[in-house]
Formats: sequence, structure tokens, C-alpha cells
Amino acid sequence: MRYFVSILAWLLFLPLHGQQKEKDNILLLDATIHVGNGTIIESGFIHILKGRIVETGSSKQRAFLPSDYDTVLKLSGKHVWPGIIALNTTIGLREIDAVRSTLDFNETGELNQNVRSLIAYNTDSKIIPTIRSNGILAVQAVPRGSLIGGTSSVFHTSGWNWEDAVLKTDDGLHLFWPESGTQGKPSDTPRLSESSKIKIQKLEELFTQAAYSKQTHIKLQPIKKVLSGEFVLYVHANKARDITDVIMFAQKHKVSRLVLVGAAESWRVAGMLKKYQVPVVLSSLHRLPSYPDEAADLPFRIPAILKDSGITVALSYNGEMEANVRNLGFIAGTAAAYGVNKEDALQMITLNPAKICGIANDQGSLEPGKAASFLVSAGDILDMRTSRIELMYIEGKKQNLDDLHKQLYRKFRNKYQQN
Amino acid sequence: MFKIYGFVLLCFLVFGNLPAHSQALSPVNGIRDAENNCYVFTNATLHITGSNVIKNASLLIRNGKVEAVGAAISVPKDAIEIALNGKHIYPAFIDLWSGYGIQSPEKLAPKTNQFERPVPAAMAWNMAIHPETQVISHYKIKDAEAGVLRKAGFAAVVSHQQDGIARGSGALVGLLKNDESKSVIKPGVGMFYSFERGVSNQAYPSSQMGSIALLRQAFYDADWYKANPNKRTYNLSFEALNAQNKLPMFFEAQNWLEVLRADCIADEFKYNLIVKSGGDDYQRLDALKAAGIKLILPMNYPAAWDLSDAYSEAAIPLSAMLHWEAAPSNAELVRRAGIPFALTSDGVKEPGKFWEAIRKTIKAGLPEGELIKAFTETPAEWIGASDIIGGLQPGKIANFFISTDSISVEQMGILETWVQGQRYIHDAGIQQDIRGTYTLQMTGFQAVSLIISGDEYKPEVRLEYAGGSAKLNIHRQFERIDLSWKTDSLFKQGHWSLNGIIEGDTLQGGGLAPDGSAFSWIAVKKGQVSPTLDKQSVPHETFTADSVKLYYPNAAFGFSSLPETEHLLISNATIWTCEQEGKLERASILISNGKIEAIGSLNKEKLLAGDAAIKHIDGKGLHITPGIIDEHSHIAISKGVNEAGQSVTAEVRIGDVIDPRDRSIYYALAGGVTTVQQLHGSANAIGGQSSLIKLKWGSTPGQMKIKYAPGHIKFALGENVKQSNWGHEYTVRYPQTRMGVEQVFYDAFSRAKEYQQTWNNWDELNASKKKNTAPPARDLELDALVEILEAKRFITCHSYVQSEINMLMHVADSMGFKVNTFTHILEGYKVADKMKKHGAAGSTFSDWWAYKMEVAEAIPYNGALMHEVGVLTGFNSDDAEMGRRLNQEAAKAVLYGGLSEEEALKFVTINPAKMLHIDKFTGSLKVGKDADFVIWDSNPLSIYAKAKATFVEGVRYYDQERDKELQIQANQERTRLRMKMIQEKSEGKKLRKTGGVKQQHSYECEDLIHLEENFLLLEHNR
Repeated sequence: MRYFVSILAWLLFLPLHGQQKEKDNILLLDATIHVGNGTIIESGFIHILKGRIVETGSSKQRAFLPSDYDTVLKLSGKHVWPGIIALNTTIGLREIDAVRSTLDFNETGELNQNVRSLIAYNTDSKIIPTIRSNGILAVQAVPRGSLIGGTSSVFHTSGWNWEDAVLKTDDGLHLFWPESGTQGKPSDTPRLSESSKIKIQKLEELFTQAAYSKQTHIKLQPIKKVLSGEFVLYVHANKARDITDVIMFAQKHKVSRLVLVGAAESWRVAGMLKKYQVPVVLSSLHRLPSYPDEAADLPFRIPAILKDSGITVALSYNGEMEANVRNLGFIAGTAAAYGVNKEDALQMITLNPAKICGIANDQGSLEPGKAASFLVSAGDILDMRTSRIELMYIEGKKQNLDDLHKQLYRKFRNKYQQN
Repeated sequence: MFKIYGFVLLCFLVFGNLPAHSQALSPVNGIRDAENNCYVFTNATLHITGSNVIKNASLLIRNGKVEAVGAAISVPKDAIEIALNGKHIYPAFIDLWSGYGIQSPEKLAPKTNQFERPVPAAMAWNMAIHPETQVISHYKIKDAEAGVLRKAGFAAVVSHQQDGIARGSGALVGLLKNDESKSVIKPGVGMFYSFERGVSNQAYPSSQMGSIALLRQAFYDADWYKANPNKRTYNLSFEALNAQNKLPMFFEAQNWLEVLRADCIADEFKYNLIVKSGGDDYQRLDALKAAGIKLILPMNYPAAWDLSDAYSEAAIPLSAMLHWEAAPSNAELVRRAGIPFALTSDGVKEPGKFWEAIRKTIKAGLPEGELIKAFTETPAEWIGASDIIGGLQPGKIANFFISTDSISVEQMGILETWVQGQRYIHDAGIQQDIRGTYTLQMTGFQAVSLIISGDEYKPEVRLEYAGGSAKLNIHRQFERIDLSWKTDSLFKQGHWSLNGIIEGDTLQGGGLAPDGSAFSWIAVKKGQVSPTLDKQSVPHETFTADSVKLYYPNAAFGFSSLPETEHLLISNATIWTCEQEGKLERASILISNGKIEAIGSLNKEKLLAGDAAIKHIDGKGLHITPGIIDEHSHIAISKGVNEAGQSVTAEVRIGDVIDPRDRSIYYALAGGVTTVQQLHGSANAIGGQSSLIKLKWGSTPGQMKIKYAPGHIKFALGENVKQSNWGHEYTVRYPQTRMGVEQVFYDAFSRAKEYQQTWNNWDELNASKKKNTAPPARDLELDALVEILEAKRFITCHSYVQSEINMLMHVADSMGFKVNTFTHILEGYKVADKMKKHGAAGSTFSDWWAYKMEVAEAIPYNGALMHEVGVLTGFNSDDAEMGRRLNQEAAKAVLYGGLSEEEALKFVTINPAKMLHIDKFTGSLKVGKDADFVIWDSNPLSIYAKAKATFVEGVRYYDQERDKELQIQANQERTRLRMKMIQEKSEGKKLRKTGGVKQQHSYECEDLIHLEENFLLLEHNR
């Protein structure tokens, strides 16, 4: 019977905010507000008007007149969080790993700067509701590849179609830096293989050509946008030697918005990343150490090392089992367990990713002027022990947190209960 | 008597071609050669054996055999004397591990679906089993290879065809230049084996455990073949196995673990085992000693790595660096442990490297006499040839080499090797010592001084004259001497050359001046030079066998000494018993002798006062849980987690290939895991037998196996079994549909039942009938299936969708067995009621899905729902990374489905213990159970919880504080060794690049190692 308890609580809560006009004028009251910028407001309020936050602060010594609002959510004992933003995902571009016809994230060829994830993003993916119900507000759908994958866009995890869901169109270009040694083998020498040398030469030519050419060739335009600062240049690299190459490449070609992605060995070159102000999107911390003699917990400690060096860090779920990006909160929990302050760890999955992909003016934290996209929970969402999301709003609109998994759960529980 | 120097030219003409006094078995084209081959070597330092050395001694040989040795022997008149002036004679070396003269079979073209024997024959069904190979029929002298070996001091080797698992017989052959028949000293000295299938392109075996099973089955088949005179079948392979089963078993191993694996096979079939090891035996001498093995030790010591690059040095693990330093000490450490050993040159390509390795071995501490013994007496004894070879006692074959100095001396050079009485001269051979001061008179010029000094065999030559000196080049061959120099200060500027001969103390001949004018010259010795170079025995290096410090395992995070069981009281802690008592607040637990002695509210003061040996931990704020049990793991497995060569491979055993060095063990301990089931993969319907181990980091496989655990086995259903995601080539192996999967089980269990009946019938015979009736053939595959039918072995079945889960339970019900556990079981929630009825447990993932079609409806509520219906439920990892966070995975049963925290923790403790039938001993905290537990710093289900310490049977195998010390220790050792390697670089030694070191691979369920290409076909698809 214990299974009913939570459901019951949820049902009881429902009438409070069942009205249609709620999106216009909403007040959240008496909640612990995790702003997303590293700060916390105990017993705080958030006033939302037409989907945007107009004011936040402490509820104490403030009188609110319920009749002033369409909806008042009394959230005493509850936590309010910004929605989680997951960078470097293949959500919407891949459904079943082993079924080729469901894979749309990796175009053939090396120089795919002109392809866009925007138009392939499948809002009807069965995966999307499963991650939304764990508090994922937005995902960056990234075209992967062997050299230049294409441009990503950032989407809400809610929307009728890609035009409706998109939050940031073409936020940046994804470059997969040729790896030193043989690809995929961390043991190999730091030298560049012949094929990597050729790839880097291609990149040099492409970026130089884009800087000088007056043409509006579709293969040059995205590079020009990188050079003009319109696009972020996301470079995926893991080895320390490659990371330093990437920084030099960006310097040489005057790339103003460089972001390092993956970045397994970024901790070895933190000084350089700080000096050149390169933000880092780390792949999943839940991995084994890169090298045999590394400390068992080294992967977990990297966010703290980078943070302490003054680097902007975002956490991602890139790695294995990417459909489970719903676990991204727990990646931040791991960072918090290994040296990052909890609110800072939250920032690594909210405000920092928003800053990195260029949506921070509107998203990523619960601050006045920003979109009213938030989560409500009874416990700490960075810890699977307590992370059940009770409510989710996107731009002032309450979200349906049902998903395929809950539906199947209900269907078969009913079957057994009827027996 | 001839004097040697007058005879050498003649010797050169006939060298290598002196026939012994023998019956002519083949016609001679021309006139028969003279047959005088009696030699006496005088004034030698004669090593009759490694330990019996006589100075100023003589060796008399005749017709290829030693006739007499000693300080005062009578020399017959027909003996040709070779005066050695103190040079050394050593008995020539014997190499037990060689492929010399044997044509390697050609590699068969790789084929994806080659299940049957590609070349039909009345032999074993598998091409990797060819014990019938008679090495002599493939033997052909290869003088270039023989020359290399002779120069390394060898006169005979035991050669075998180095291919396959059962390789056939080996023969002792001499390294003669020609005459195959004569060179064969003793055929059939041993049977040779390895774990590698070699050139065979058959799908089976694709793993080391498959190799082991295949070989064991072959021995059982041969036994049956022998015991059944009326079998009406002829098999050359079994004939050969039976005919030669008294010969010693020579086995090739890559490391000490494989040495122990070979020992298990030899013990099972009562073979006298000799193992060629991987050279890391020193790492586990106690286990090797206990096994009573004879070892052939390689000397291909690894070169240092170039670790000067800051970014790539981390790729070389400390384990490899430690081995680099310790490898030359292996032989000495093996000797000190009292393990019988021989040495081999296998893997050392050239004579120079070989002699360098010899000196490294001696430098590391192995006494020279012991080294000689390991290359002579010991190998001779092991092949039963001590009467004819392996020393220079009268009557033995005249196999020896002559060297300038003791082999311990750095400058030692090998001059000649005699094989079966035939002489092989290296370089210039034995030479007269011409060092001294000479007066050189070139006709038409003034006399000058010629000084020849330095090393006897590599002298320095110079001219001295008023106003300067010149360095000369020298070249000698027999009595010839050539000198040349360039000068700008003596007589005429330019290039001078003198060509002449050596005649006693006089050098003379003709020359050519820089202007092209010819002249004659003579140099007469007028005095001795004082030796400028001191030849000494190699000084022992600072790093010797005494310096080798071992870690358990010999790698980063290894213990310098194994931790011991603790007598420990933890008080005032939150104790999650996973028993009826539930969670105890402010409770205590007492551990002694590896067991839980008491639990609950204990009187701390009284206990501590009563026994001073009890250590006490104040558990305030700490949580204690049972050690986590991972029902589905693939860590700590060597060389293949799948035997994918057939659809039914119940005969293979993970327990044969446990790798206790896998760092995943340490990671898992750091995550609170104490016990895992090491499962076979899911590549086939009936996979191999599992192994249950406790994570006793630093122990041997035998110590890690859980003695009280019953047998388990892996089954699998669905996409992996039907090869759905393997690529387009994999559409042949049966089954390709779920329909076929069912039939594989029916067929296998029908065969098992027939087999069971056959044995039962035989068992029921009375004693006299049994005597006259041969027992049925033993089938390792069906043995395992019969154990399932008899409820002695328990199934863990990889499964996903409800139809197949339902199917297997029907097969089981109708064939009379039970499915113990469904693993993965992601649609278990759809048939939980049926599972409960059948009595099957479910061990699932917390939240994995969407990686293949059969997990399209996998839900994270699966665990909670199965549990709610009443199925015994657990969460497992199937992944070395997730395997260290199973406490967090358990918490997801709270998140999805709302289990209580205590019930959720049981998903990774007592519930898997029950599935594995070890719950009487572990899995919960209860008095009398094994002290397998974890101390956590906070609620164990929280993402913030860290294991402070993990205990297995009362031993603290992981400790947070010690972990930091071990990190420092590893770092210090790395730094020390790295500096040592960088020093080698600055000394100009050739170093290895860091590329090409294989990283340890973490296995998952579907991983296949395809041996031909050695690449991983599929990864990350569970």
C-alpha cells in the first residue's frame, strides 16, 4: 500500500493549481528556493506574471493578498529549483541505440558544419517525457561526427513540434577534435596520427578560407558565424594534449566563444582553461578512471578541481546510456559529494549550461526577468533518494509529468491488483 | 699431435662437415671423408656442470662424445690438441621451448561461421586439438636459425610445432648444419599444450575458458576411447593422446595465473607438468610453490618505456613498471622459493640480447652455476636425457661452447660451439693472443713501435714514433692480419694499409703507401703490454632479487602486505541489518575471526575491558550495512567473458579464468561491494558456468572463490542469443529467432536426460558387470545440464521480453528444472505473477532502457513492481562502473515505486544473496554470518554516501584513509621508476614508446573477443 502514499499526496495537491488562468499570475510561497546561481532563499516567494518571474525574495515580513493572484502555491517544506538543462545530448535524435532507423545524430562524411539538429529533433520521442518527469527542462540536441558534426539547437522537453519546442536555434557548431594517438585508446602516444594530421589541416584550411572568403557557400557560412561570435564553437576533446591544441586553434583563428566538451583530462590543464576563459562541459562523471593508476574517485572530483580553478563548468550525461539523461541531477549530486558546494553543483546543471549555450538571459536561474520554468520537490533533487519531482512549470505553464514508464507501471499494477 | 694453429685452415675447409664414426645410411656422392675426430682441449677452465668447475683441465672428445675430462688425463696420440690458455668450456645449453626447424602451419582464412572442422579427417573435431602432430615429420634443419642459437651457446633444443591447444609431441634435436637424421637426438620427449587456438579458423573456442574446456573434453574423450575396445571408430588424435600420455605435459602460460590454470588441468588428468611461464612468477611464488610446478622461465625482459612525455606517461600502469624492474630477478626468486626451474631463450631474438639477458639474470642475483644448471642439467633431466646430454661427463654427447671468459663477465665472447662433436666457429674463432709491443719495419722507412693492447679479442692497436702516434684499424681472420691507418704526420700523409700473417711472435707481409707504392713489412715482438683493462665478474647492481618489493596485487593500490582479519567493535552506529530486526539506531556490532560475533545494543565498556585486543570505532553518525552483492558482474575475468563459438557452452567455467588483478575489484570495494557473481556473457543460449567470488583484493583466484557457494550457470534469451545486433554476417548460427531459442533448450535438455539415463544405467550395474562394461563417455557440457536437472546448479538467465521469459519457464516446467533467477528481466513486471509461481527471482537494472529493441518497454518501476508481486528482486550492475555505485542504484527503487529504504537496500544485499544461495553465510548482518560489511559516512542510499571502509570476512580490504596512502605510495613508486627509466634514456638505451600497451578491458554482457582480429565486435550493448 505504500505505493499509494506518494500518488495520493500528489492528487491532494492537484486542486490547488487546477485552474486554467494560472499562467498569468502565480505566486509561489514559503518555499526553499534554489536560485541556480549558487544562492538559496529560505522561505522564499516567487511572483510570476505571464510566464515570467517578476519578483523573488523572502516571504518573511511580506504580506501577500491571495486575491491578487490567479494561483497561489503554498510550498512550505518544499524546494523550488530551476529546470535542469542538459547539454551535449542526442535526445530527439536517437530512439533505440541498436535500431539504425531510429538514429539521426551522425551524418556521414567529415565536414558537416551545414547540417542542423534543429529539423531532426523528434518531439514525439518516447524518451523525452521520461526525462522531463525527472526535471529536465531543456536539452541540447547535438549532431555527433568524426570531425564537424553540425550545429546543435536547444529545446524545451515540451512542445508539439521542433519549431514549437526550440529554445535556441543553432546555438553552436560541434567540432570533434582529432584525437592524439589512435582514436579511443587512451594508452597511445601523444603524437598525432597521419589521419589526425590531415583532419587538422582540413580544419585549418576551412577556418582560414571562411575568414577570407566573400562567398556565401553553405559550408562556409557556419564557420563564418563561429568567427563572428554568433555561434558557440563546441570542441569535443578529452586528452590534455588535444585540449591545449584546441585552445591554440581557437586563439589562432580568433574564435571568441569556445567551449570545451568531454574534457576528461581538463583538470591537467586547468590553468590554461582559466587563462583563456574556456567554459567546460564535462561528460558523465559516472565513469571509470581514464588511466590504470588514477585514483578510483578522480572522475568524481574533476568538477571541484575545475571550479576551484575558476572555470565555468557544466555537467552532462554524455557517455553511456544517453537515453538516461534523466539521471543528470545525480551527476551534480556526485560533484557535490566530491567537493562542490551543493548550490554550485546545481548551478552546473542550470545556470552554467544556460550561459554556455547563450540562453542565460532568459533561463537557468530563478531570477526576476527570466522565464518561470521551475521544479517543485519535497527533497533534494541531486540525490536519487529524495529527488521525486512533484511539479514542473515551463514558462509559467504546468507540465504533464506522465510518461511511458509510468503508464506501463500503472497498466501492469492494475492488472495485478485486479487479480 | 697437430698444433692448433697449423690446423685451423684445414679445419675451416671441413668445418661443420666432420662425419662421426657411423654407419652410412645414405650413399655418398664422391669419396668418403676421413673420420678422425678426436680432439683434446687443454688448459681450459672446464665447467663439467654448473657446479663442477676444474681449472687448467683438459677435455677429450671422440666421435661426438666426451671421452675424458680432468686436470690430468692421458691424451691419445690421434687427438688433435686445441690449447685454450684458460678459456672456458661450458656444457652447451638446451632450450626446452623452441619452434626451431618446424614449419608453422599456415593460418586458415578467418571465417565467421566455421563451426565444423574445415579440413575433414579422422581426428579431433577441433583443429586446435592436434596431439597427433609428430614434430619430426615437420622438421627440417634451418641453419640460419641454428647459427643464431649456436652463437647463444645452444647445441640442442626441444622443438615443437607452436600452434594450437594440443600441439603434439616435441623432439630433442641438435643444432647441426646438416643431416636431419643425425641431428635428432631424442624424438618424443614431451607433449605440448597452450591456451591459444592458433591457426584454426573454427568458431570454437573463442575464449580462454573455452580452450580449457575443449582440452579437458579431449582428455576425457581419449579416456573413453581407450576404455572402449568396441567403439567402432578410429581417431588419430585420441590414439596419439593415449599413446603418449606418459610423456611430460609442457604448457605455455603468459603469466602466473595461467601457470595455475595449467596446473589445474594437469592435476585433473595426472600429468607431469612443466610450464613455460610469462616471467612474472615472482609475483605469486607461494601459490606456484604449493602447486608443485616445474617452470621454464623466459628471459625476454621488458625494455624501459620512454616516459618523458608528461601527458602520456600515465598510460603505463605501475604494474608494468614494477615488472620491468623486477623481471630479471624472476629466476633467482623462483630458485629461492625452491621451485624447480629451467631457462629458455624464447622471445630473445639475437645472441647479443641473449648474453645481455644472461648477465642481467646473474646481476640480479642468480649464481652462475645455477644458471648453467637451468640451461643444462635441469632440462636434460626433465626430458629423461640426463644420460646423454646436459653436462660434460664422459659418455655424454660432446655439446659445449668455448668462451673467452666466464659468462658472468661483461666482455665475455663466445668463440666456438661444438654440436655432437662438430665444430662451429663464431667470428674469428679461437685466436692467438698477439698483444705486445712490436718493432715495425716497413721497407724503405724508419722503424717505429707498434703496440697492441687492451682486450685480447678486441685489441687496440697504435703506432708510436717520435713526434706522435696513430690509431690503427685491425682485422683478423685465422692467421691473417690486416692493419690500416690514416696519418698526416708520419712519413707520408694519407691512408696506409698492411696485409700480412701472424707467425708466432712475428707479424709480416706486404703493404701499400698513400702514394700507391708497395713495400714489405715485418713486426717483431719485443715485449709484453701490461693489461689495461680489468676483467671482472659483473658487479651486482644496486637493484637485485633482494630489492624486489611486492604488492598484492603487484600494481597501484596493491597492499605491501595483505591485511589481516580484525577483531573490531563498532558502537553507536546506525546498523541496517537487512534482517527482520530492520534498521538499528545507536547499535553496536562486534566482529571476530571473520564472523559477526554480536550485534545490537552491546555493552561497549565491558567488551573493551574484557579483551584488550578489540579495536573500537565510535560509530556516531556512521551507517553500517551488509556488503553489497552484485548478482551480475563481469569483472576480474581473463581473456573472454563469452564463449561464443557454439549455442550451448555449458562446459566452460568462468572459475577457470578469474583474474584477481583487475582494478575493478578495488573500485567495487570502494563502492561497498564484497561479493560478485562473475557471469558468462549472453552470446549464446546456454552460456558457461559462473563463478562466485568475494572481493579479496590481492588474493589468488582460489582464495577468492566462495567455497560454500553451489554451482551457477548463465542462460540467455533474445537478441544477443540470436545475434540480432552483431552485423550482417551473423545470420547462420542457430538460432536466429526466439522460436529457435526455445528449441535449443529442448534439445539440450533432451540430450542431458538421455545422458543422465545412460550414466544411471551404468551406475546401477553390479561390480562385476561394471568391470566388464566401459563407462559411458563423459560429456562436460551435459554434466552441467544434468546438475541443473538435479538442482545442484542454478540458472541465471539473461532475458528481456515477456514472451521469452514465459517460454523458458514452460521449458523448465516440462523438462523438470527450475529457473533460479532471471537477470536483466526488464519486462519482468509484465509476468511477475508467473515468475512468482515458478519461483524465479528477478535481478534487474534500476533504470536502463532504450539501448535495443527488446528494452523499448523497460521501465524503472520494474524492480518495485516485481517486488510488490512477491518476486525475490534485486538490482545488479553488468558494468564495472555502475558496479561501484549499487547503493545509489538501490535508492532508485525508492524513487521509482516508493519502496522503503530498508527494502531497497535489500535489493543489493540479502536478496541477491538468496538468489545465489549464499544467504546463510552473507548478505545480512546477523550473528554467525561472515563479517562482510560496509561502514558508510551517511545514509547508504544517498548519492552523498561514501564507503569509509569495506570488510570481507573481517578483513578491511578497502579503507578511505588507507586509499589515500595507497595513492601516495603508487605515485611515489611511479615517480621512482619513471626517473629510473628516464636515466636509461639519458644513458642512450633504446626505450619503448608508450603506444601499444593494451588497456585493461572492462567486460559487459555482450562483449565478444574475436580472437582472429582481436577486436571487440560489440560493446555497450547489454
